[in-house]
Amino acid sequence: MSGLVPGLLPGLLPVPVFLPLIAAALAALLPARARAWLGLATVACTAVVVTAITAGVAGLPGRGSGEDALSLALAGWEAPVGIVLRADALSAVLLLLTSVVGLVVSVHALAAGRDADALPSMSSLYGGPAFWPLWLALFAALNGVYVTGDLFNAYVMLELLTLAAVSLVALGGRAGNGAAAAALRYLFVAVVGSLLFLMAVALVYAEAGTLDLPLAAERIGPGPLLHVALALALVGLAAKFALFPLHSWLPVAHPAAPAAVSALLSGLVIKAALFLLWRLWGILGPVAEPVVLQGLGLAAGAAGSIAVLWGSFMALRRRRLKPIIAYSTVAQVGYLVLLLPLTAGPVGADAFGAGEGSGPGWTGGVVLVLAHGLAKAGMFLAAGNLALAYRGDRLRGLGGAVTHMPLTVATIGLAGVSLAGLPPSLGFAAKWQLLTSALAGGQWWWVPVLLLGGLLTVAYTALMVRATFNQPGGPDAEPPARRLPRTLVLGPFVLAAGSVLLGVAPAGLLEFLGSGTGDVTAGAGDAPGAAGDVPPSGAAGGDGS
Amino acid sequence: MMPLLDLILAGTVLVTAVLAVLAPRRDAAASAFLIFGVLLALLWARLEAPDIALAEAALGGGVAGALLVDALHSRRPPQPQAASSWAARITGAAAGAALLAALLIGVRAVPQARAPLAEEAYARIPVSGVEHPVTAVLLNYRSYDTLLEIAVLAVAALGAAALAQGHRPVVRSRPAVRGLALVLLPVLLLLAAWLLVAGTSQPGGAFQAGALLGAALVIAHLAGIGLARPQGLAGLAWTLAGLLSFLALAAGTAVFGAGWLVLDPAWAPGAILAIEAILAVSIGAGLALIFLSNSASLQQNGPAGEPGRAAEAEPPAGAPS
Repeated sequence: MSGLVPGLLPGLLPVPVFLPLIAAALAALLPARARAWLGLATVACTAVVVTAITAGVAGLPGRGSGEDALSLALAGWEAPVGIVLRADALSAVLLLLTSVVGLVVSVHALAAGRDADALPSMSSLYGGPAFWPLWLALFAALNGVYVTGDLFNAYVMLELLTLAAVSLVALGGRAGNGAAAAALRYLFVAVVGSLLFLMAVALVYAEAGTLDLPLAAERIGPGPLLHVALALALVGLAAKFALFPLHSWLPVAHPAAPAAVSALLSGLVIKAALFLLWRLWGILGPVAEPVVLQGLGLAAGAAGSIAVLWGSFMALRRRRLKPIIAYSTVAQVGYLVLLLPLTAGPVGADAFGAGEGSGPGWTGGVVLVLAHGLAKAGMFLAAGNLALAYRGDRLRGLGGAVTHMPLTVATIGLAGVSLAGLPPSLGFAAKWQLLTSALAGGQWWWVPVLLLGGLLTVAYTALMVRATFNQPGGPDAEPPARRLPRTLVLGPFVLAAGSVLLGVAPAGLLEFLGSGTGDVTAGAGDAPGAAGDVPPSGAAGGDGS
Repeated sequence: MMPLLDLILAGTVLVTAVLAVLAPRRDAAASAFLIFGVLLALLWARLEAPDIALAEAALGGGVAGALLVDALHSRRPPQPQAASSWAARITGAAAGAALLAALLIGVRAVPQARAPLAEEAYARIPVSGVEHPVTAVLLNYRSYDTLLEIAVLAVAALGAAALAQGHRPVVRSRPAVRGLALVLLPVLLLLAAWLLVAGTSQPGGAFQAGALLGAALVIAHLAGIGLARPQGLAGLAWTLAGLLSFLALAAGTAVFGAGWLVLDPAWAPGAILAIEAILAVSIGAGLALIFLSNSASLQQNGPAGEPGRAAEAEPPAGAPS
């Protein structure tokens, strides 16, 4: 494999961006049926390319040798004049997640579209033929964020992502549920977030004279400019991934969208902004004054802790499936920013992604993104199925679903297990790593938040599952108004089951993440051992407090 | 003398921006926003960024103006919107003040020395295929970004077209309007073509030319000239042609050339001008498509979606009165 690396593999990096873009443009010009098949074929081909990229990243010698990422200078111009694409282990994992969830959602939309001729309400599952070009553009933008090594390119990708996502939300408007207003609100918040990120990029460029991220880290010094840039990026990106108190658009926008779009938004779209924040933190963070970095991390962690509790609390008070799941996303985003305080240690920045590999806290966060992406996408798709079968997602109207649609209810239950972080799910593996990291770093105050959040997640999952049981003492509930095709039921179940089963043997995944970003033998000096280690000993030097 | 003028200009930009946000009437806010766009273009010109000034004038003044005026015309609220609450205003003001303070701190720390990147970019102009540095950056050094920006516009047009229900009808307009359009259109087309060709050696290029083309298409439509209707499948095809040709160039260079988007100095000038020409047409078609989709859905959706609010009999823009 490594023999191929110098030649062919880096040349694949733009394919996950260009291929879906070509398909998006062509799909817009094709009739509805052909769009769906073109879309599915494109996502499948991209998934193959992404697998090859992942294999290539896994075959790299690792960070100790200074080679931890595939890179490609576009248009023949190296940085700082041109744009350089890079993919390391973190990129590869997120690319894979995007392809897997994208594949299942594409099959779902195709199956729903096939029946939409006979049953027009089926198109409410995915938004009609306009879904395909917009989703393919969204897919290209997600992949583009994960392979970029350039700050301004990241901004352009975020814009593409935002516009595609907002348009997809507005597709829910045919049902007359106020999707247009929700989409507009999402647009306003997302554009403000983009602007703040752009200001941060401009500030970094003003001092470093380059937009290439690793090069900027070399040329920029600690000082007020870098600190302001990091703060602006934190606030701007937090608005995009709906961190408390900038979250109020999410519980409106995600439920208003068609079910397939909700799955994409909660499972994938918010991860792109989060990924960029981690990237900045990992590469520019180590240059900043440790006190400032820890202060920003602490502020983000505090907001995240409130998000965990507030989101879960609001989810418990909702009485409809989709708003419950949307508030659950608000809560889970809180966990994901806990990574900032847990990894805010002084780590060297000698290579791309160098500062990111500080032990279990780091891998825990990445694994949590995977677990949440799979589980939440499965949960939203299953909720959409229930809403279609029972003509609405009110909890009160779902009685008897457990006997008539057992697999769909099981999907919600399994996804809830992973979100709550119960063993043996992937969510458990992730939260165990976060706990280990918090305790090892002496930041015990995050532990109650992690545990309480898990309990509340169990509670709102139980609330949703209980609503599908027959009324005690009452007659058996009627079968649902509509029967759904098997494909629609199986896809979400596969996602939810995956988010649990991957947790049974997470070693390979953890090792892969460690190989690209965690394993350090030279350079930084204070980095921990292999990130795959579950015992706390792995985090000995990971934190600077 | 000039610093004083600049100060007045910058101050006026700020005042019009605040007016655009705070004006209680929508038409007043829209007018303030349009003046803001024109003044901002002047400010960019004073900063010796003529490319941005041209784009801002065409987009901020022209296309955005057409969209705003059309939105005002199609759906007029019976009374001014209820003022936002004091809590919202205070939160907004506090957030703005915090941002201003952060930016002041950041900008004060910007080093005075000019970044070496500009010299590096200038040094490579001879092999870039163009003479104007901005065009070299947009279509050679960072062509990937430009391709994606075209994709952003295409997605915006696709989204707008997906939400629009039905086509906006062509309405015959008054002879005076039609006559004015017939005079204006050749001028705009000529200007767009000049900006496009000039872009290789001086300020101008596909974005500015495309914005003018879009304005021309909108004017033609408002004047009732049925020819120019970038709607339906043909409109989408024109809008997506630029993105598809750019992607074809990328794939072609990867398969047959030296790598993704690598332009050989031998044929770079021709390739860049060809791509720019297609991009300009697509940008124009895309902007006009957004405008027409917007007004079509306003007319068809607005009154039906909100019963009792807007009158059904609102005449479309440019209708005989």
